[in-house]
Amino acid sequence: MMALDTVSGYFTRDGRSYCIIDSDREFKECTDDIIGTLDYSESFRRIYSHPVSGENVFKFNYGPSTGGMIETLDLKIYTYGERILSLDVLPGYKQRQIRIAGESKDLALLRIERLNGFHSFSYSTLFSSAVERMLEIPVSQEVRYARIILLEIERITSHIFKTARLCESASQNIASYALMGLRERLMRAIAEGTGHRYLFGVNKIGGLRRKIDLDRIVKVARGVVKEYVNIRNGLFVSRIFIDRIENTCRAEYSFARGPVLRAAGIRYDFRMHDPYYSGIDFTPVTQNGGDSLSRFLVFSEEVERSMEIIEKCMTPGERGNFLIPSHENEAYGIETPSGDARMVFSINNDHIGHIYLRTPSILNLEAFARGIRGNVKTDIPFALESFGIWVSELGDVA
Amino acid sequence: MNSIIFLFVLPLIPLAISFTFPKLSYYLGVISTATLAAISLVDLSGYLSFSTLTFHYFSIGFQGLSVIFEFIVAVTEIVVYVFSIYYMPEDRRLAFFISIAVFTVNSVIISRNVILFLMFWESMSISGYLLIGYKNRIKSYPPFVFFAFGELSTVFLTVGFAAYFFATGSLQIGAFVSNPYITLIILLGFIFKMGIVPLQMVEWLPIAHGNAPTSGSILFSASMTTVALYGMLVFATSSAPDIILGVLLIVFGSFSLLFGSIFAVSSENSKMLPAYSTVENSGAMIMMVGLFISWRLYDNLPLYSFILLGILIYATAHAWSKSTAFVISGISLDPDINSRRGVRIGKFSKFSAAVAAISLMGLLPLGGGIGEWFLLESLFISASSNQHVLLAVVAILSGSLASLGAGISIPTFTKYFSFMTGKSVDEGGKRRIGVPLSIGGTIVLGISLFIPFLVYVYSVSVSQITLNKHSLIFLSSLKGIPYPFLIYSVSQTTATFGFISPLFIMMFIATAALATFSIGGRQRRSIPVWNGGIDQEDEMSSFAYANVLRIILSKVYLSREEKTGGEYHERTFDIFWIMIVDFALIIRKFSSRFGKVVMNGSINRYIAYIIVAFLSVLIIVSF
Repeated sequence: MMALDTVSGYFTRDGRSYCIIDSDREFKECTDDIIGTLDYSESFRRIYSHPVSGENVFKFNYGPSTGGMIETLDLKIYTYGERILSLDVLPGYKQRQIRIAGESKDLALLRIERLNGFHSFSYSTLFSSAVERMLEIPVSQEVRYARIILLEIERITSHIFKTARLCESASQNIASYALMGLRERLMRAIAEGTGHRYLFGVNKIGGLRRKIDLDRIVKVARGVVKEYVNIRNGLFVSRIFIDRIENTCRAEYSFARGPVLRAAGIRYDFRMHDPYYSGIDFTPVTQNGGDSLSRFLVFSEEVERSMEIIEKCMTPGERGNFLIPSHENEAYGIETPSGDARMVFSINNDHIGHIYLRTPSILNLEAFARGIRGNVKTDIPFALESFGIWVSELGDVA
Repeated sequence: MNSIIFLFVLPLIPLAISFTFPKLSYYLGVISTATLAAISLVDLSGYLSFSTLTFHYFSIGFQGLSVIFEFIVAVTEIVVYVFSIYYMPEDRRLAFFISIAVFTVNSVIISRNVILFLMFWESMSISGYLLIGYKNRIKSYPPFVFFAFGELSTVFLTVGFAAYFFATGSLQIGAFVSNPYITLIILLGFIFKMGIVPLQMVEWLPIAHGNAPTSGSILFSASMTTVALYGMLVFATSSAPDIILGVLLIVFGSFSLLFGSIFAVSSENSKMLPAYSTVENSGAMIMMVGLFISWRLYDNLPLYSFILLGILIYATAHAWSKSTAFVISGISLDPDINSRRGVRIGKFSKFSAAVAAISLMGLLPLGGGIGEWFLLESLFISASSNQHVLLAVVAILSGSLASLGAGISIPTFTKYFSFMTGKSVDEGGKRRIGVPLSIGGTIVLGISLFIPFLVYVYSVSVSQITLNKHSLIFLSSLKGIPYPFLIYSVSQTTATFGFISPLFIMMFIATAALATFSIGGRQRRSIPVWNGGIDQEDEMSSFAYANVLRIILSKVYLSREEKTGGEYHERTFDIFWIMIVDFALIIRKFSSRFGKVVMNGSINRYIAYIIVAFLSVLIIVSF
């Protein structure tokens, strides 16, 4: 069992270094020496370099704009043909800088929810709830449960999309199209129920901006999840599909996040520590393989678990306001569909001060770069799509 | 004096001056081998014939298969001599060894007597040994391995020829042998020389690791292999056919074809790759000999005549294309395909190299493709037999292996051609291989251009060999293709089974190219290589090109991927060679222990050994 006190965030402020540890809610001061001992510390700076050499070894370029990859990543494969001996990832071809510091809370929220459109509600909820806690702005239990429902709905759409991408890369085109159809059905229901298919503008500091038709969304989600489970069960008996993802890209690293970590047998899900989810009976989904199949098993089962959470939240017993004051030096977090994101910021005179955001893709990309060693070149799409890595999450937020 | 003595003496002319005027001997070699080829061609055309010369027990002759194989080998030797003019032309010893090898090869072919045959066969092995081992700095074991397996071949031939004499009462080649075991022993003697699996190291080891000069490699891989095939055919045509013998050859051949091509594609040595390809092609020819023997047993004259014609066409295409392929290896002294940068060659030379490579891929309309068609057609016809189920099943199974192996030869020679000619440095030696390469390529192209003529003259000879009174010429006209530009095959019931027209294919390619050119004119659309949107940095290596097979067939290659001292590397091994080395180590260990126990210098044990041996001899003699 790997240690859970993994350093999963690292930033500097006023000449001092701080790190975020999984088991702690607060960030702590740390020395550069400690960070230097982490062999994945470079990934906090978006550097994924693992050069190797040898007889007949050369660098084979894959990306940044190539067939089979939805994201703009340049992979430098160290190989003597087919076998991936090591991998460098250059994510800088499409990287954004989002400036938050010095902006008002509302403008900051507007920008943060545009960090990753597919997970916009996760990031907007992370920021809104953090501000609410810092400024001790209570929200109603109704808002709290509506946010949980929408977070889980976003998780379901994201996992369906990931499954569809995984199917497409493994040449399961019928399943892929069917899954994309399901996702579209759910997103249209989201658009009709919230006013935006990517849930933009739904959150505001202190509550929700619009009235949400949750019944409509959840009704569609029930049907979608039922069909998703059928398709998933069909994929389980597809020898071609399983052969392509089984034993592919074993990534068993404690620094990995979300389904990637849980697929390696680590029972860590930020929802277990998230005050928003307190009182909701919830068990993280885990697998032991650490490969693409295990990741698929984890996130596909999480779709059902998310639906169970939604059903619980549709009939909440609690009424009144909800507020859990923040700790000093708290590193706020949320379990996005790809893993936990951690955020540290301050508010000065109603404006956002220094801000640090560590997204799950920052660490999961390093897990992919390491796990893919020993696989062959054609495994890259099956591996990458199982990680749920978004280049937009690798951008700078400052 | 019988004029055949001229054929015997002709290769001796360059040999006579090789030590004093090496370069001049090469020029004379070109003239003498060209003369031999021309005489063979005229003989094949029916305008010349030689009578057998007998001297006591010995005799030499020039009829039937001898003429065809002399033609094939002489053309190969032209390439050898032309190449030698530009490659180490002042090396006296090399000139001498090449000349003596050429002389012995030619002498084997015109020998009509088994003792003479064996004598020149052994001389050929010795000359091969000298060619590999004449440099002092080389490893010692490759020449010995070559010689050891050469001697194994000689042992089988000696035993076989002795049995042949006892069975037929004749030392003359061509006497009818009814005992299939004698035929098997003799054929095995030839097969060992051809480097068939699992003894393929006979082929690749001396060539790749013996530091053999390129001209020597051509002689090993093209000439000596062809002579071994000649020996097989000479005895296969004069022996009683046997189905088990035929099936054995088909099975052995198909395994050799498959494994030869598997090892060829992964080879990164510029000489080992074509050497393994020879193992593959030898397998194909042995398969056809097996089919020939089988159909002779079933007395299907048109079919086994067609198969024999196929063997001859295949052997011609292989020998000539392989010679040119080995010339390509002379493009650089670096044997590593992966790292080499060869001399810059002209456009026609590059075209010639492509012609040889495509021919060895077995693609139409080139000679290799025509030979491959004969092989696959023979297998298809045999597989469709509903009367001879065993042969049909063997043809299907072996044909599957053969097709797989033949398919693999396409990436093999795509890799060989592109990586050998793709990168170059200007060493100022443009002419070094340009001339022999151009001549070799033109010769290979000539097979396609003159294939009707070759099929015609070979068919006439085949009719004489098979004692068919009415010559069966496998040329026809069909679907608008005029006679004689269509080659056809026969089914078991003599009806036409299939056909090809190399000329039509050539015309189709030429017409399509001209049409494209006339429509597109001189407009050229140049598209830069798309490398994911960024500039190209590294280049694909030949090692990487074949590595997918090393990974998939890791159990065949015994692929070892290791990281030592922080450096990655991958190794593959010839599984059969490892088995033989292991076996040799066991034998050595056993011999050592046996020697220590039984023959350990103890006088008592030695006397006991002599007594036991003496008593054993007495018992054997008594009964």
